[in-house]
Parts: sequence; C-alpha cells; structure tokens
Amino acid sequence: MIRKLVPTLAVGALLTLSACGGAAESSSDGSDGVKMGPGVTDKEIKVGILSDYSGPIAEAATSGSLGMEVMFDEVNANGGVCGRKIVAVKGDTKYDAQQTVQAYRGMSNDVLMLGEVLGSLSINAIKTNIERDDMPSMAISLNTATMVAKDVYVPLPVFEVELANGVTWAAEQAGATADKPLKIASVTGTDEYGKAYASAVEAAAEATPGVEVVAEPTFALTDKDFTAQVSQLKDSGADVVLLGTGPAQTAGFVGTAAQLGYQPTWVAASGAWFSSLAEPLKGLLDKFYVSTGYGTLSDDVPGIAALKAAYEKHAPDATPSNFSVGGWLFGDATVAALQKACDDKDLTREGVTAALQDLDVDYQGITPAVNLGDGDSIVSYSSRMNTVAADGELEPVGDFYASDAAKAWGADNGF
Amino acid sequence: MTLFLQLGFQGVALGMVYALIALGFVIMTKGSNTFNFAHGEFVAVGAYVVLALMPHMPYWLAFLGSVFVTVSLALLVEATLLRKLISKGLTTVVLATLGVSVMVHALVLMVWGVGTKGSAGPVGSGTVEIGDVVLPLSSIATIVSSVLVLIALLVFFRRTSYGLALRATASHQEAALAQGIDVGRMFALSWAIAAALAVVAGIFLASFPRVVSPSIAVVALAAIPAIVIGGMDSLAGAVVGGVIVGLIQVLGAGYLSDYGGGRLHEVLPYVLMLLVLVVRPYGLFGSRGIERV
Amino acid sequence: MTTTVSAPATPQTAAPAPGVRRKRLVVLGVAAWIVGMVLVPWVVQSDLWMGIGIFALIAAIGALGLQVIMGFTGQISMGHAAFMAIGAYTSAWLGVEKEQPFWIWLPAAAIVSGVAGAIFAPAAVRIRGLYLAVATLGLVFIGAYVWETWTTLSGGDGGRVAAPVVINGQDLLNGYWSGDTQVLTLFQAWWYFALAVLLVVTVLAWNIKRSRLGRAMMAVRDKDLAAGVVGIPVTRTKVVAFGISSAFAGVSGALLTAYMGYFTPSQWGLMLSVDMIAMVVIGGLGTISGAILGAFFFKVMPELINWLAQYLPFISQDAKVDGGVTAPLLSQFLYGLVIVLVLIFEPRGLSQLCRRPFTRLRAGRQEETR
Repeated sequence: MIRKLVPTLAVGALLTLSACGGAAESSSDGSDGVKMGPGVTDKEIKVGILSDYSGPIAEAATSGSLGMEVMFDEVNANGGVCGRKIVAVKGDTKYDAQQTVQAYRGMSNDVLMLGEVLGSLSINAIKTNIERDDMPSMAISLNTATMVAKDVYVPLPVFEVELANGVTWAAEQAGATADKPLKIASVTGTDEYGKAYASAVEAAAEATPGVEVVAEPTFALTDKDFTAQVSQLKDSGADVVLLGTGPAQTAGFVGTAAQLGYQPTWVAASGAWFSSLAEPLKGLLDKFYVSTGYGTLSDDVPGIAALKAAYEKHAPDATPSNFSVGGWLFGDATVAALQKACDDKDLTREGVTAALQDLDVDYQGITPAVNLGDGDSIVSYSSRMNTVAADGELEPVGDFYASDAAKAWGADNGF
Repeated sequence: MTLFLQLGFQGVALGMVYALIALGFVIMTKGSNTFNFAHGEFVAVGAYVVLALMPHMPYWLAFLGSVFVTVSLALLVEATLLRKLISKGLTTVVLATLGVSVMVHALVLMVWGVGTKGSAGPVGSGTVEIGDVVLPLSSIATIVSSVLVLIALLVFFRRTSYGLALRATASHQEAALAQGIDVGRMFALSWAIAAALAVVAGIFLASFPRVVSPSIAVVALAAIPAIVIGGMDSLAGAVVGGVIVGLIQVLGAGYLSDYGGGRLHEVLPYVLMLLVLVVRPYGLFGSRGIERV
Repeated sequence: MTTTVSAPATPQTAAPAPGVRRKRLVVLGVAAWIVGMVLVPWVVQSDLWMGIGIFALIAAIGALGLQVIMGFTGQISMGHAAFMAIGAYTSAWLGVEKEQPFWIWLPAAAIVSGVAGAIFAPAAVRIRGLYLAVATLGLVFIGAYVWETWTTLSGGDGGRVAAPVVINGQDLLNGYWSGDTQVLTLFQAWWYFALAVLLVVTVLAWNIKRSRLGRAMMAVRDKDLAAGVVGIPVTRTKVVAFGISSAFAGVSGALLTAYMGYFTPSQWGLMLSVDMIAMVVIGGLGTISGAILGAFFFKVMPELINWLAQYLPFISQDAKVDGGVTAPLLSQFLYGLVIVLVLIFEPRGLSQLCRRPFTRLRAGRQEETR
C-alpha cells in the first residue's frame, strides 16, 4: 500500500509545480488595438529558441542562439517591436528528438513563434507539431529538405547553394573549359542531406562546361579515420574537393590529405568550418576556401558593426563566431517579421505567417537582402568565397555572387 | 596493393587506440570486477588536460601532469563509489559509473567549453614514406607507444609483486584475501592503471589530424566490441580485439563503401561481436567460466 | 483444547488477521493512486509539466518491461531501445501506410516486438552478466544501422511520421472535441490514453509477478543453476521473459512515437536503453511501483533541476561556448550526481527509500504490542 502512496506523492509534487505554469493564452486585443496571439502581452512578445546547449552540436548551436539573443537585446534597447520587448524563451534540445519535442511542447503555448530551431534533427522531430500548431518557425538547418516543410522558413541561402556556387567559382579560377577540364570531387555524409549536397555539386558540374566530378567519397558520422576516403580522392586526381561536412570531418580530411601528400583546393560549405580549427590545421589552409551564404566578422558593413557593438553592450564576456553571425541574421529576419505583423496590427500566429509571405529582410550588408517568397523556395542564391586567417576568422575574397548553375539546379528541383 | 597496405597500417594504428581503451576496461574488470562506464570520460579528461598543459611545459611533463590528474580522479571515484557499492551487485555499480560519466562530462564542458580544440598528440603532421605507402608519424607513435605500454604491462603483471597480487585478486578474491593481499588496494591499483592507460589512449585519439572535442568520450563505446572479441579478461585479447576493430573500420571504409549505404564498416564490429558471443562467448583469448558475474 | 482464529503470536485484539488488513490497504492505496492520476490533468495547468508527465507514463510502460527481464528474471538487457524501435516502426507502418486504427497497431507493436525478443533470447540464454549486457548493447547498434539504412521504412535520418491515435475520428494530438467545443486539450487527452495503457500493462505485469511464471523468473534470477535443478525450465523462462519484456518495450516505443508525431532513427540509441535501466534501478529493481516511480523520477528530475538552476546565483544565464557554469550544464551534472547519491544511500531504489519510514513505524508498533 505504501508503495502506491509514493507515486501519489510524486503527483503531489507535480501539483505544487503546476503553480509555475500557465494555461494557454488565447487571442485578445492589446491596448493599442493590435491583435495578440499566444506569448504576446502589452509589454512583451515571446519568441522561442530551440537549440543545443549541452549536447553534440553545442558549440555552433550556443553561438547561434547567443547571436539571436544579442540582436533581441539590441532591439529592446531601442524600444522593442510595437512598443513591446522581445523575450527569448530558450529550450535545450540536447540535439535529441525526444528532448526537442518535450521542450517544444513545453513552450508551444507560450510563444508566438520560433525564432530559431537549430539542427536538422530537431526541426524534423517537431515538423508535424509545428504544422499542427501553425507555429511560424525559422530553422537553422540550411538545406532544402527543411525549407519545404510547412510553416518552416529558412531565410538564408542553403548549403547546396554554397556548394554549387563553389563549383562555379573553382571552375572560373582554374579557367576550366571543355578542352581543359577541371576534376572535382565532393565529400558528403551517408545520410539524405549528404546525398542532396552531392547531387547539388553534380548538377553544378553538369551545368558548368569543363567540370567533371571524379569522386564522391562518403563518411559516417562516427568515423575516426579518413585514410580510405582521402586515398580515393588522391587516386581520382581531383583538383578541387567540395566539403559538405561538419568541422570535425574537415579537420580529418585536410589533415589526412596533408599526411598523404595530397593538396587539392578545398571548398567548404559554411557549416564545415569553425574558427577553432585554425590552430590544429595551421599551415595547411593555403588552398582552403569557405563558401558562405552570409558575411563574416571581418566585413566592414553596418550589420557587422552593429553586431560587434551589440555584443560589447549586451554580452561583453562572449566572443562572436561565424555561427553567431548566422544567429544574428535569423534575429534580423524574426524582427522583420514581427515588425511587419505589428504594422498590420496582427501579432497572432496567423498574422506572423502572413507577414512572412513575401517578407523583405535587409541584412544590413552582411549578405544580400532577401525576399522570403512563399517560404518554400530558396530565398537567395548568393554566396561568397572566403579564405581563413591565422586566427580562424573568415576573410572574403571577392563579392557575393549567384551562379547560373546554382539557379538552374534550384529551378530543376522546384525550389 | 598500396591501398591495402596503407589502409592496413592506419587500421592498426586506430586499432591500437581502441586497444589502449580496451586494456583499461579489461584491467578494471579483472582487478575489481566492474564495468566502468566512465572510462570514456577519463580518456576525455586525459586528452583535455594534456592539451591545456601543453603550451606551458615540455610535452612529457604535460603528459605526466595529465596522468596525475586523471589517476587522482579515478581514485576518487573508486574510493567514494566503488568500495561502497561493490557489494550491491554489478548493475548498481555499473549504473553508478554511468552517473559519474554524466557528471564528468558536464564538468569537462564547464571547464573547457563545448567547442572543438586542437590536437593533443606528441607528434605533429609529419610522415615517413616506404615505397608508395605513407606512414604518418602520429600513427607510428601510436603503434610504438602502445607496444611499449603493452610490454610494460606484461612485465608488471608477470614480474612484479604488485602485478602478481593483482592477478591473484582477479582470479579469486577470497583466496587472495587469505594470502594477505589488501584487496581494496588492488582495486585502487587497477583503477589507477586503467586511468593512466586512458590518458595514453586520449593523446593518441586526439593526435593529428584528430582534435580534442567533447565527443571524444563516445569513442570508448567502439572499444566494447574489441573487448568482447578479444575476451573480457584477457590483456592480449584486448589488443587483438582492438586491432581487429580498427582494421574493420578502416579497411571497411575503403573497400565496403559501396555496400550497405556506406555504413557497413560502422556496424560490422558489432555484428562480429554478436557472432563471437553466440559462438564463443569468452572471446578469442578469454577464459571459460567468465560467464558468472 | 482451544481453537484460535487469529495467529498465535499476535495478541488478542478484535482486528482482522494482518494478511487481510494488508490486502485492504493495498487495494485502498491502488485506488487512491488511480484517483490521483485521473485528477492530475485537472489540477496541473502547466503544459510543460503535463508534457513531461505524459512522457513519464509512456516511459513507465517501457520501464515495466525492463523490470520483467531485469527485476524479475535478473537478466541485464541493454537492448531495450532496439525493441522500442521495433514497436515504433511497426506501429508507424500499420498506422500510416496501412491506415489501421490504434487498437490494431498498438497490440501489433507488442506482438512484433515480443516475437523479436523471443527470437533473440535463445542466443542470450547461454550468457550472463556483463556478457549479456554487452550482447544486448550490440543489438542497439545493429538496430541503429538497420533504421538508418532501411529508408523506406524509417525515412532515413530525416525520420518519418508516426501513427496517429484516432478515437471517434479525432486525432488525440488535436485534443478531444465535441462539435466545436474542446472537451480535452491534447495534453489531457493523451494523459488519459497513456494512463489507460499503463494501467493495462501494470495489471499484466502484476499478474505475471504473482503467477507461476513470475516465481519461475525470480528463481532464475536468484540462482538459475539451482532453479534448473528443481525442475524450472530455465531456457523457456528466459525466452518468455525476453518476449514479454520486448512486447512492453514495443508498446512503449509505439506510444512514444505516436505522441511525438514524428520520429527519427537517432532516437533509438544506447542512451535510451541506459535511461530505461536507470529508471528501473533507481526506482527499485523487482517492484512494479519501482518501475513507475523510476520513470517519473527520471522525467521530472532534469526539468526540476533546470528550474532550480535559474535561481542559483552563480549560474550564468547567457549561452556560453567557452566554459562556465550554465544552467543546462549544471543540470546535467546534478542529474549524474542524483543517480550516484540514490545508489549510494538506497541501492534498492526509491520505492525502498519511501518504504523505510513506514517499515520503521510498523516495526515500532509491533514492539509496543509485544
């Protein structure tokens, strides 16, 4: 009998904690005539952030989250949106599907929208829930599979675009023509995202005269040794290698290639680089380029200046990274959507969704401005090539450009 | 042929890292009859501390410093946890080590952050070439060091009195007690040795071109097939098992990448492990009768 | 010659025999518990906690399965996640591709997982302890490989939609409506559904425990050599135990994914098995209440610690990359610490911990009346 009492006591504990939660808020009108949805009061707009703060991708995810939070702090310091402060409600997904669902369900009735859902795994886990709740969500999962999900928006160029543009750039650099072909290779994961990246590279190669894909080695996420793949690359004679990897594999591939005496030109997508890799890979990065859909911290543009100033003011102990820039840009997009919804006097989920259609977002020079269109297309085909400085930060080479090959690929796939 | 030799060499090098980790597990199992879930985290701590100390002192000193820290940590865990729980059954102890691994992981993240860092190996990116086959220095260092460690362990177990006492405790605790061996001290010794091995494994696991990152601890899981294939109570088995797993992974990545979705080399060690368990549960070198808990 | 009705040792009172009294208390206790659980959705207003509660109910089903194999039969199984996955994919295929209702896919998940467990079992019969743990661990990794490469079933790494629970034409994830008014929110509806399944599974588990099969299991647990000697069919018992345990796991996996709505292969990794084992050990090996208690403890505790961490002064509230004590990290640390502390202070689990004060009370009363 006693044993049954204990679960009841546990339930009792739950009861006391129930005081900490509130029931869902329904729509109502604010004192300024703006319709308010969940998470909106006369003083606040709650925006959810679902990121990994303690799990496998915490390095990038935490940076990205902070970038958005700092943007919100800055906006709030200037009066907020619609006279309301944006409050970030953070949930730790630990990059685990169950945790993500738990964190999402815990905040879904309390927030107006999700400003940032980081990682493909997390956005997949809550895809159907987002659809059911009509929750406008911005996903930092820069691939086309995520983009086409209902109510999910990716306001930046996707990795496939970065890679495709990288192919075109490499061809130009090498002066490739039909008579003087350029051999390229792609390195991708064995999952479906990897396949998408590989096919984007293939499509770009086909669309660019003189470019030939000679090898497409793949890797499993738990691989610790890349000798096999690098040997394959070396034997294929590829002059340019497109890296659709994460930072850990980047180190493995570049390092192993150096050991095997293979020195191609590397073109990595933006997700493949993190500044801390500069130290272990010192001296090996002369021919290493990163194709990014957005600018870097060394850009002399108003957006970056604002980012750095905001970090000084609101997060002086933290150092921004290129992932922080990503978070900041997502913040830009979120604020733009909220502002437009505010102008339409509709801060409900429907209002935000309507605001997101055809939304123009100006990134203040960090990357070309975009229009979100219907939310299911690639918003921008522009990316830019960068080299790596000694401290690991990216330095641009040339301007943003959108290659025809990338656009053709997008059109062929209905994006 | 060149490819085969190349991959074979790298496979052996990676396998030696697994062997070092497996050795740690085996020594703890033999010495104190426990399976330490936190061993992977000890490997991580070893690597992180070496990396932290490296810029300030010569490498061998950084290595010793890390051994000191990791062994202290292991002894702390052994003294507070193991002694209290050893009588309560294997499951309890194993779960407690799981709790410890969670705690240590969080501590590592709190001290050093969630990012990837540099390489913590003793040698850099240099290579030696024999014909067409390239032998990276870090791989050579791994293999040579592992062999030296193995020899040192063999000498320790066969020729020293402490080693003898450990073996006695491992084979029959009560008899060892009856001989006047301080069993508690033997437990501590086995954990200390395992922790030292963890540091060695850590520096080679994070040797160029690999880097130190929070996910280093997960590699310990890859050593489990090594232990089973080799035999959970056999030192030689741990090494052979480790090399087998390393070879499967690297050769598999080279030759099997067109089959099974490109991931066959990931899962084969576990398939082999299950086969061994069904056919010969005590592994290639283990002794019969280990089935009892 | 005297005929006594009550047992000789206990004194003269008019109270009924202790056995009967105890039974009544048990029934009362269970009834109180059920009433409490039924009332929860009306008292708990927080979505976060309701969501956690539902995950806990679902986990409890899986934990009960693990209790059957580990607590009753004494076999360490780290492969629970693989059987949960089998249940999940079975239910998803039947519920989505074949459009079957839940009263088809839920039992089907149980059956398919159960059969899988029974097929694996004979290989596991010969090995014990660490070796068994490691063998079952292999199942998880091989399972992970299968889910990731069998993309037509699992949707690959991107995952797939799960089976919906449709009652009276309503998908419970939308709550329960009567016409245009919402009678139950999604949390309330799912709470009751999960609670109902948990009750069924609990009754099953309880009956197993008290049956001959249960006693055979416990004999195998305590000393299978001796059990064999007294005529208990050890192999058959172990196989049945694995089968039942996997069946419960399958139900838990199916419900878990149905509640999530969408799931990926990465969920069925080692950590899931380990979580389940932790629930059973910390809750209390061998008891029904232990499994349920452990499940609730492990789902509630991390969130509690998270909530607590907000109020601790030395926590940095900002997200940090370079180290520092942040709330998520501290909460992880405390999670590990709690596991260790519970094991040190009450290795027999929480259910024993809660029983202690009452046992002492009862012993005290017996002292007085002697």
